[in-house]
Amino acid sequence: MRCTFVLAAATSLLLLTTACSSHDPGPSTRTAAPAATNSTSPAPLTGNISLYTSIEQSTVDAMVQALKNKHQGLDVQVFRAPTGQINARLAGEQRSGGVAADVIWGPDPLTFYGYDDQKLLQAWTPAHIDKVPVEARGDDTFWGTAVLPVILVVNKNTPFTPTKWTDLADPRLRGQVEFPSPTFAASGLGMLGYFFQQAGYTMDFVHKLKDNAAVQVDSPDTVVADVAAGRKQVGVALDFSARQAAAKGSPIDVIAPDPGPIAVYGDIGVTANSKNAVSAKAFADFVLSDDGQQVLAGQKRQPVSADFPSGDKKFVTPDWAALAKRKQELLDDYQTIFIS
Amino acid sequence: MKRLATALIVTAVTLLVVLPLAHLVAVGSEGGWHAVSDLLTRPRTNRALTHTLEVSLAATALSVVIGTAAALATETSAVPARRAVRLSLLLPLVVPQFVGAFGWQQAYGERGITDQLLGITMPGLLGPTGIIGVLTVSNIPLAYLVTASALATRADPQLERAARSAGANAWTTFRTITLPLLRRPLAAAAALAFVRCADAFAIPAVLGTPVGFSTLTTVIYQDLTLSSTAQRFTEAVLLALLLVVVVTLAALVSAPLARTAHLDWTLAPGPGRTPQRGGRIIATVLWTYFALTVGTPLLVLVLTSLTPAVGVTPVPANWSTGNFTLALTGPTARALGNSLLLATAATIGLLLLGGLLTWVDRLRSITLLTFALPGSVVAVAVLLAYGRWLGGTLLIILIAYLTKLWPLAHRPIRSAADRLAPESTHAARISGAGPLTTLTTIVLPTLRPAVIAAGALVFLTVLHEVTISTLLYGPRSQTLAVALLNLQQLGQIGAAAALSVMLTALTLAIATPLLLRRGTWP
Repeated sequence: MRCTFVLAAATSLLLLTTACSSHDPGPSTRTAAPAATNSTSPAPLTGNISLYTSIEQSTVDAMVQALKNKHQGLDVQVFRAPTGQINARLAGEQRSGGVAADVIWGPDPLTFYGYDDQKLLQAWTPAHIDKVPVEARGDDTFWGTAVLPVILVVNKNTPFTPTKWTDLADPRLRGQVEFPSPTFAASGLGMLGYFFQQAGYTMDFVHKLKDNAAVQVDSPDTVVADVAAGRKQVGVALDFSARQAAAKGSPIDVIAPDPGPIAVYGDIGVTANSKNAVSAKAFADFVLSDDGQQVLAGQKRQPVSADFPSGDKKFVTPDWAALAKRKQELLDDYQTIFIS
Repeated sequence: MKRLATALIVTAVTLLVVLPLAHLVAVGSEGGWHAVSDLLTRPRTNRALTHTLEVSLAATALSVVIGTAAALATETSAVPARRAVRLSLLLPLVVPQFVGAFGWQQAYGERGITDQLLGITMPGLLGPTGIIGVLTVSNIPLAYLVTASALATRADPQLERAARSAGANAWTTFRTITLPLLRRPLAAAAALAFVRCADAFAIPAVLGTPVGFSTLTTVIYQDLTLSSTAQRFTEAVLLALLLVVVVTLAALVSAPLARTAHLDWTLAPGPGRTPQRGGRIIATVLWTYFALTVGTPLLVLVLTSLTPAVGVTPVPANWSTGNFTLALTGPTARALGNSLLLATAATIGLLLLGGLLTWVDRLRSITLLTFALPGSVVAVAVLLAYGRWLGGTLLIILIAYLTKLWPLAHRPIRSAADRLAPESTHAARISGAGPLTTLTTIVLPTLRPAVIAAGALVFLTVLHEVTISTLLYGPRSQTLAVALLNLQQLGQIGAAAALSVMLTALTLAIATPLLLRRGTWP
């Protein structure tokens, strides 16, 4: 009786080894066949495509509807989840029968560089490439569709209102600054990447933040909630959710610090495994078209297109390609500074 | 008959546990031994592992002690309004863990209700103390349920009475009679609680991240978030397997404790238990505990759901139902249907599997292995094993639930079955009853409280589950969790709170009649 566990463990080990040898697809079957790209026929699009996205439901719905109005025969199936879940699902699918997504839309450039490294994406040039700013272009497999500005959110009762990023290390804000963790949130990683690459900030600035008793939380939404509740006076967050909270009555102000809000992009790419690459590219093209960008603007998102200026403050942005190469090193440095 | 059952169990274990685990091992070995040793020696891994062990051990010990004490208090003494007290003790089960963590923070944290009204905050809420506290509260019902149902199905309390009349004092009676009787169910409850603590994610994420306190689950989540590189994905899977090893060791350590002292069950049944004095005091203590740990955080949640935005004072003048409207727009109705369907199917499936496993009594420790995996990793494992054929269907989500929650159904049934006197089934068989008659007339009535408890546990867990379904759902299989996550990710904390309030109310509506009904408890 008491040997049950040992027996069971032994059995399971045995089964494990057999299962491993018979079920692991092996590296050779993992690389996806290049999709057919011979068709250049224009509208109307048909069939169905599968979209994996981290963009919020209402914006996705509006975008899909706008495209469907033009192509009634097209069916778009949406899997919407945080970037982490999308990554895990892609990693799982890659190892069991291939990636099921045709289009991936929403994650940040660093995540997309990861997809690109794993050869999940296919090369594709949008019809409206001239409208995509150079700093928002990926490795000709993915492109920025929207800007997610990283800004400062400030409680209305704060005794000291910061006006520039360096103010976060100001002693008057000691213990009063909160930011999203770069290991959890793209906004946090964008912020860290910008500081890291910028002369006058670099990792020294991260040390200064730590010395000023700044605090990391998981997501930019938590930052907004904490600043609104008055738990902290100042936070680093995403423009969109901060404005939404302010509009509903949270006692916060949104500040675009000097030299400008940090631009993180919500990118789009077509998968190498896509079985309906024509429609998939058409979807991606549509998001970058004037109509698609208009849909984003209608959802109070900042379109990437040069036709939709962001107002008086210019965005700053890290060099994503350079950052992608040093991401691990950067995060390790960050963690030795910030995690006790 | 038994051979068929054994074959079924072996098949189920292979399909639900071994095959998914095998796929994980395959992924984990992608980087070779070098990657494994590199990961294991990294300070980040060691820190997370140590934190996980500390927090889980402390919360397990606390929840088992408090849960047992509470069960003994409500089941062996005359507590006024016993059914209501029981219900209040079980209430943390209907509160999803992330709601618990959020509620505590809003209630006792900086700028929380007590801070604003009285200037009091709970010291150490952010960090290990707070995590242990909330984990303890969320696991007390488990120890309580297991102990209470074991007390209900145990041989009658004449042993205790005999001890008392032979001159033993209350403590000696407890130590020499009651505790040995409870040892096995308690070991089972402790094992379950430990695993639930070790694989909890929401609580350490909310209360640990701000102070840089990481556990294995939060580190795994970080790795998955950054897993657009193959290396990070492999690391996440390896860390999850490390968690499995930890739990396996814990199961091995607790195994000797689970051995029951052999006791004579042949005493004739007697009348009900003697009420003890102090029922009123016990009730007061329990109600205070309930008000502080569950009542206030839930109340805060309700207030949050009624407030249009964070930072707006939650006074009636500012109340609005906007969050509820928002929570109900979109695919919430279909999601509710899917969640109820999944919860029902998983409950039926797991009760059958749990019952079968109790009867066959082989391979049971293996089912703990997948129970130990964090939800996100179970989802990945099931996707690796079955995604090819079942990707995006409700069935694959159901398989993941069966994989993850089997012990949750099996343990309570098993610990009650241990209390079943073999003589009664023998007597039935000798008197000419067939196996089916014996099952329906002797075994099932005795096990009923445990089966109901197990069913309720599984049903509520599935209804609250957030990570598995958000990773596996497809176009027609959204669950409530998907809807909830949509709202949370949008920063709609109020709407998320509104949905949680409705979810909690729904589970309460389902669970209350069940728990208050005469006959559920003897």
